[in-house]
Amino acid sequence: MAKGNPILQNGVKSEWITPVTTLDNEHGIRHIEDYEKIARYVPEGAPGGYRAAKKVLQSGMTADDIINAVKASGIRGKGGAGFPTGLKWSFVPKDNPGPKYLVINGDESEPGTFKDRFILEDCPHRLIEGCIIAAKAMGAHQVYTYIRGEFFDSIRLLKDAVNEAYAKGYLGDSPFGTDYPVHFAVHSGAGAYICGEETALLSSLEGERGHPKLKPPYPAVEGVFKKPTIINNVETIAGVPAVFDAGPEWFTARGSEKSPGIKLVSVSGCVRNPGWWEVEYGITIGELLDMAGGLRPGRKLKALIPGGSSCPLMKSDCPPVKFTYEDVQAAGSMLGCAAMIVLDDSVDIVKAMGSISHFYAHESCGKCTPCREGTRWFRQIHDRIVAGGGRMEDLDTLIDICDGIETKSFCPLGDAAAWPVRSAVTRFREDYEAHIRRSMEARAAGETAAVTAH
Amino acid sequence: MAKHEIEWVNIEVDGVPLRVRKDRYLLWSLREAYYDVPHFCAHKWLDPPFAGCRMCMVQIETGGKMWPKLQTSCSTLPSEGMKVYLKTEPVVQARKEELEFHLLNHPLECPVCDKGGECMLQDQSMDHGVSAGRYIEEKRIRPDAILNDYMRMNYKRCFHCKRCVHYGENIDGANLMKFVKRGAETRIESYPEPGEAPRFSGNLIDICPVGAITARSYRFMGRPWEQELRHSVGSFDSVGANIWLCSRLGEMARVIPHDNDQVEFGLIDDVTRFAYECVNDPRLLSRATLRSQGGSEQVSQGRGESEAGRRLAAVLGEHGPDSIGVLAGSGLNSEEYLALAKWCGSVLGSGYYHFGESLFAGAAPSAAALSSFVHEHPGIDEIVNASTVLSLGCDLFEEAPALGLRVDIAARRKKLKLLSARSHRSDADRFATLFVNYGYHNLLRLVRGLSNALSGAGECPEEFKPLAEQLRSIGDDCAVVYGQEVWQNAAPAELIEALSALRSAIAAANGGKPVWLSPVFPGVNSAGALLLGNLSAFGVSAGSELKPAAGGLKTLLEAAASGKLRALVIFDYDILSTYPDRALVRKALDSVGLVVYCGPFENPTSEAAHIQLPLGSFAQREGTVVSMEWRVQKREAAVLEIAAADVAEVLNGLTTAMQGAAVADTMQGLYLELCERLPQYPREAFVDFPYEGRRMKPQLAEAAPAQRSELPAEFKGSADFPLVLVPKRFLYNDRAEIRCSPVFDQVAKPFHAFMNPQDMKVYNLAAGDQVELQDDKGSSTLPIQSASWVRPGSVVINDYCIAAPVNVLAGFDPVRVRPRKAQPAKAGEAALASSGGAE
Ligand SMILES: Cc1cc2nc3c(=O)[nH]c(=O)nc-3n(C[C@H](O)[C@H](O)[C@H](O)COP(=O)(O)O)c2cc1C
Ligand code: SF4
Ligand code: SF4
Ligand code: FES
Repeated sequence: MAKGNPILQNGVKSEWITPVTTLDNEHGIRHIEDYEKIARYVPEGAPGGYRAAKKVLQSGMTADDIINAVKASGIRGKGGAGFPTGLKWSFVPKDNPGPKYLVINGDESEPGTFKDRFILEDCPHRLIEGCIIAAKAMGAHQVYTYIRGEFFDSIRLLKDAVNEAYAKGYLGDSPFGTDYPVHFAVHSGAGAYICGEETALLSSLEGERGHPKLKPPYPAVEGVFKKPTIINNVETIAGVPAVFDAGPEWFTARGSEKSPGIKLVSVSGCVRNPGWWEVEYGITIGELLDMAGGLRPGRKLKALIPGGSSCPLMKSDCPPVKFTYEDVQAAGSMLGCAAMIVLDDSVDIVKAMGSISHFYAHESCGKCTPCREGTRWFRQIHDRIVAGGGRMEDLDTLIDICDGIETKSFCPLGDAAAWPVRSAVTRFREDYEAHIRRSMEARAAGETAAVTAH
Repeated sequence: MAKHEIEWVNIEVDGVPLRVRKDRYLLWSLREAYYDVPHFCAHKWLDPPFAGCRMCMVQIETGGKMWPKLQTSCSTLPSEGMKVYLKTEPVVQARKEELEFHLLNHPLECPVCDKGGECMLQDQSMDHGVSAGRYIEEKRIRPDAILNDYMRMNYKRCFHCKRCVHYGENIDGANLMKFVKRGAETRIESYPEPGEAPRFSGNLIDICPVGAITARSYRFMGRPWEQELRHSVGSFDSVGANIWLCSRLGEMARVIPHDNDQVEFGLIDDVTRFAYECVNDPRLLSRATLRSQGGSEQVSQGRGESEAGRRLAAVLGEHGPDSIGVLAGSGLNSEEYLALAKWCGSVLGSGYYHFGESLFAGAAPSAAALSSFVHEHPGIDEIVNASTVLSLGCDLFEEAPALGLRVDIAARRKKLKLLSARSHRSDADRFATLFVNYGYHNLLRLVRGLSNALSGAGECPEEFKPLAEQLRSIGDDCAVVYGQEVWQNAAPAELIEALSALRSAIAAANGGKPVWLSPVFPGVNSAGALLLGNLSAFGVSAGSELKPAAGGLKTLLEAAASGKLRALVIFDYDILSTYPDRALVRKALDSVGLVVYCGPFENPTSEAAHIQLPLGSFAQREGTVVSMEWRVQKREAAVLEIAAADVAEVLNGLTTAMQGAAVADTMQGLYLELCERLPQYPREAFVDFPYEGRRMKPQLAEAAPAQRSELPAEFKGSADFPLVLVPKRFLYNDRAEIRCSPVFDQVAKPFHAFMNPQDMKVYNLAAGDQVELQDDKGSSTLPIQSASWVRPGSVVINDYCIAAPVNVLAGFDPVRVRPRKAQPAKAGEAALASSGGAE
């Protein structure tokens, strides 16, 4: 296993986004006691030291100026959908007299992803600084962060950082001595994947059941507490200060035209050195695999999920594909939240899909019929195939179930559940068939044995 | 009116042009145009749409471009030029797929399911499903559960449409049903409020598209297609909710709403829904009772009638005209009132008759009040669509539940501004913009104060000024609704005049915008009783047959008490329990030599009668009734095995016994005669009366209200009697239909004295204690319950409770009482505790 801080060792080392001061632990491994040692507060004036926020607030930039800068940088949402961030901010109705809210989505629950958590723990001040700028851009004075309930330490550390920021006068009634109050509240979820979906998150934040809500009205028009609301991912906002530190050009100079800038990638699965890296868009999947230490010796790549468990599986020919939204999509999958899950040839695809379908059946909120019943059904079918009761017609049934869910469920969780199953059954059909054939033979043999024993 | 202007857009459905409302989701417009769009989770009550079942998906094209995904029509608004496709391959395919999902866990038990035959899932499966299932995994099952006193949950049939949860959250607010857990594990659990009687829970049975929520009293009772349906009207309030009386094999099977969007919108209360059980109950009288010193004797109806007729004839022979008084409750049909009025005139020669409860403190109606009833009052439609509703002295949930709920829904959705003033708080104010508590018997003070404040002349107590301020901005229109605290007031006529004046003041303060005044009458046909009991006031020439009424109810009772009247004939009116001046009624019953009571059930009044005759119940007599909005609707008789007499038949029997012969009146004949005499009474084919009814406007000269501005002094507790007694009309009371329906036996009925927790402390009382309430006339003992909705310094008790009758204390005049902890358990109190059933 490679030693040292994975960020320093392999990543792009952009001091603009993730601070270089995170861990000086010799092994680059986190121990719980290290958390207390992390220098979270960055000296004033240094990148990440609220330089950008101070500039934005004190220089009298208007909301439009800020939004235009963010638009120019081409930053896209890092929560999964990749929606252009500046554009999203411009949807807030300008003439609305009441309060507006900025909500930060830190519910990070997609299997495979673990990037927001490190921002919250290593450089929470980047997030807070980004929030101040975003709040100013959309006219909000209150920021809510909704952090996944299981992230006890992240929540604690973020709260500490918020207190620090209040104490330093970066947050509060007059941040940096300006008359633009920004307040910050940390809220924790209760462990539901669906509460990462923006409207469900807002319901949960309001104290309601975590069910997605009908759109329109879109959150930008009527969101939390029925007020205009912008929801952004933690990573998206943590990247915003750099737009004003390094300039929009810094982003557009990197990545591709449609996917400019940089991205945190979490790599997990059958690699020797799983971890997260800050990379420029446009790096290939193969390079990412190498960063993560490659496969174990003697193992071959079987399948790869590029963007988190909800993205379609790619086949072993994927390493040359460039890691951009458009290239991954052209190759038949999605970049999602860039949570790469690597499966080598020791993995039984049927079992792996069984466990993914367990996740979705467990996390479906139950609001809409196709997702509630469909996820349960394909979980049951996978369980049966794995247990040796598979039938060839199950494969068609699985595809039919996906047909019934995809584009027909209420929120994207349904699609997210169906994509991996559909891609597995179509792209790895021979694995399923082999599995089923084996168990059919075993059953037949068992029957013969039973008959002869009689 | 500008605000009700409808915007239309033109769309195309499968190539056929259709004009639809712009603000209405596609599903409803399509269904209204007779397109079959399957749907499970959408329901006309529920807004915003839930869009969870995904059955209603359609394909949509705008601007020449097909939308990439199918859309749920229940949550899609139309736009000009939109093209909607219902029959394309993807739509048909999607329906099949979604239906398969719906059926995965559904048991194959339609043949034993109550909903079979009227189940949406069953229907859709026939239309859009496949015949064989391919689901071989384990189904989701759970044992049944009891939801509340009325309903049972059949979990395995529940297909998670979640209508029931949304009903609890967005419609009745009782939150009976809730989600538990997530995904396919989601369960719908019930959380009944302990100690509280459900009010609108039965609607869940209708809103559940499948047989998951079933009525405990109807379970396994039969199939919808074997039932005989008869149209009727909710008989326990004056809203006029449309219902079906369903009977099977000659017995009542159930009551279901008969969706009248102009009246109750399909939302009925639990009493209206379940009180039909009394019709099957042995306590429904079928035989007459003759009582004498020596005891009582059960005889046939015919014998009873001839006995009564004989004795009435004797009284008549001895004392001549005006010696017999006739009373009738507010539950009779208009035709029956007419028959009675004629009988009084032509057979008894008596002007001593009174129909309906006392609305004017026992006096005859004043011209100004009648004019207000006729000229200033809105329809239910206008009330629920008004910009502002001011509810005065009236608990809509208890007195007019269906209307109350509709107003509540509109207020919750911020479609109207609800202002409320009453002597105590209630659930009906939960979405009120402003609530003012004026303390019992101070309504006139409030009304005059408001008028004064609005017109800028005269005095207005400080605490009422915010309400007056609200009334300066009513929006487009305003409906003022008033009820029980007016009818129980010492001077209702004066109060109604003050209300009329307030109405003009509100209109004047708002530039002449429409303002209405709507009385909530106590009974199903109070308006009909008022009309037919005062025909001369409505310009019907008396002629020889009809004698004008000799005065109000009080005049009649006093005449009886003073010995002027020698006999009383009472039709279905428990006057002893409900008339505020119990002593007077008692004296009247004791003084006349003969009391004939004719009604479907026994009650304290009938027990005081010498002869008790059976009468058909509300479900058995046909005829028309007039609701609070002057809507004339017909109640048909349910198809039942037991015979039942209506008032005309009873009168026939009596007259035959008295005179040897009688001209038999039929209901149809009486109806035609009614239309003759009262040309404004809507004339329709009687057998085929339009079920939604017809609104009428009786002819009456307009009388201007007297303008008076002086404020009466505030009424409060005194040193000796510190608490003001508030008799309150509750939905659950001791009316016979509730007492005699076993379904209500376990329901926690509000037969308590309710006191503010603050006062409970002062008088050292604990919930459940027996408390004796004393005034200078008498005392009443009943268990006490603490309730924060009661105004400190007052005590609320059910105005119709046989075991602890409020009219022992209360009269029309304001009553103050002194509470005292009673010694535990005397015989009478034990009886009360058990009939209350709560503790
Ligand atoms: C089922 C589901 C789960 C999601 N979970 C997350 C999550 O954990 N974190 C996140 O940032 N976005 C999540 N999203 C995406 C959000 O709905 C939303 O698009 C995002 O927060 C927008 O932020 P961005 O524009 O900065 O990406 C999820 C979406 C779906 C449909
Ligand atoms: S697709 Fe439907 S059931 Fe699944 S999470 Fe979204 S709303 Fe809930
Ligand atoms: S109980 Fe009935 S209404 Fe409620 S979710 Fe189930 S099927 Fe729907
Ligand atoms: S009726 Fe439209 S989704 Fe259920």
